[in-house]
Amino acid sequence: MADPAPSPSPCLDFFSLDFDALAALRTEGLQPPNPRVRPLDNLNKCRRILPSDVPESLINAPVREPRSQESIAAQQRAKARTSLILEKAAERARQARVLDTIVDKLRQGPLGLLVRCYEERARIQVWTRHTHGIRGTMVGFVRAVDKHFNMVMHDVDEQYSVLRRVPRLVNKRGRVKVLQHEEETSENAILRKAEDENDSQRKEQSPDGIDALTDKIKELKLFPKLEYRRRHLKQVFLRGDSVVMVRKLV
Amino acid sequence: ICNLKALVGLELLVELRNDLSVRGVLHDCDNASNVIIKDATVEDVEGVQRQLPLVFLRGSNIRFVHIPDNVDVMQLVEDRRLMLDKAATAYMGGKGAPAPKPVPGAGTA
Repeated sequence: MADPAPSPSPCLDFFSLDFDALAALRTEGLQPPNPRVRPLDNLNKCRRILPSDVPESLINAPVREPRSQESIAAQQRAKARTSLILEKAAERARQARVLDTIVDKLRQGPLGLLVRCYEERARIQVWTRHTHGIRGTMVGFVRAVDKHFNMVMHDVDEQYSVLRRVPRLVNKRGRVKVLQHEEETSENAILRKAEDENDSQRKEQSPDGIDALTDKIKELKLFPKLEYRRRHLKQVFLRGDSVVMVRKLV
Repeated sequence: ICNLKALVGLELLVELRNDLSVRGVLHDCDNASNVIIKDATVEDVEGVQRQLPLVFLRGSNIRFVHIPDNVDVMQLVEDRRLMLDKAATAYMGGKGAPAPKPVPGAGTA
């Protein structure tokens, strides 16, 4: 149990000559007078509090010699050597342009033509494809190539076709009814309009006139339509599996 | 492809093989050019738009990646390569970069 009495036994009194450190450590709950003082871990730290006439005190400590010129020079040389190595490595990294490294391996085979176009910055015409059939062509300059035919192109004029499903109203007989402003109308609007017409017709007609009814009901069908578009792109990354053919333009 | 890796963090327009286009910030990509896009706007051929917070696109389905005009792709690729070299040097303990070997990642783009 802790002893908070102001007069502890002499061996536990921090200020007495009979202070027993071991007993103090074993005593539970005993606090030193200033519990937040920093402990002295080694002899060097004790030197500070020793009086100056003791031979081990700080004043008598051996003075460290200043470093000789040779050691300083040796250190400078070592530093210079490592910095030179680092500079060389950086220079190598800078010079070995990644894209050139990639392209080097392609020089031998048929991609060699593409590699020459890449190096000469020649204008290229690339044919691209849909899942079924040719999509269009891209005319531009090649900035990067790789073995998959992936390309980074810039200043590209693309002329391509897009397959669209255009909704049109069709009579049962197959007559195509062309709506006004067909291209701008969205699918939903057309559907709604068709449904409204069908509903209104069903309400008007009697159940007997079924044939007349089926003639008048208009169905909404989607027709495939090929639309040709053209656009200019400043920078594109083209994935290789869309490439059909590459032609070098003079 | 190191190209796509260099473009991570930029806002791109990715055009798919089915003519869908996805505009958003490129979050991640891998060797097969699979791509993760954040805060995406998907636009149909008809022009129908949808907003999707996170999109994973399979690389084989990509046709184009439109890069913003003001970006110099070459510079970005070189910068990235320099950064990787520096990292390799630091990893070796600052004693010099390892001899430049043909890294398989660079070769397969």
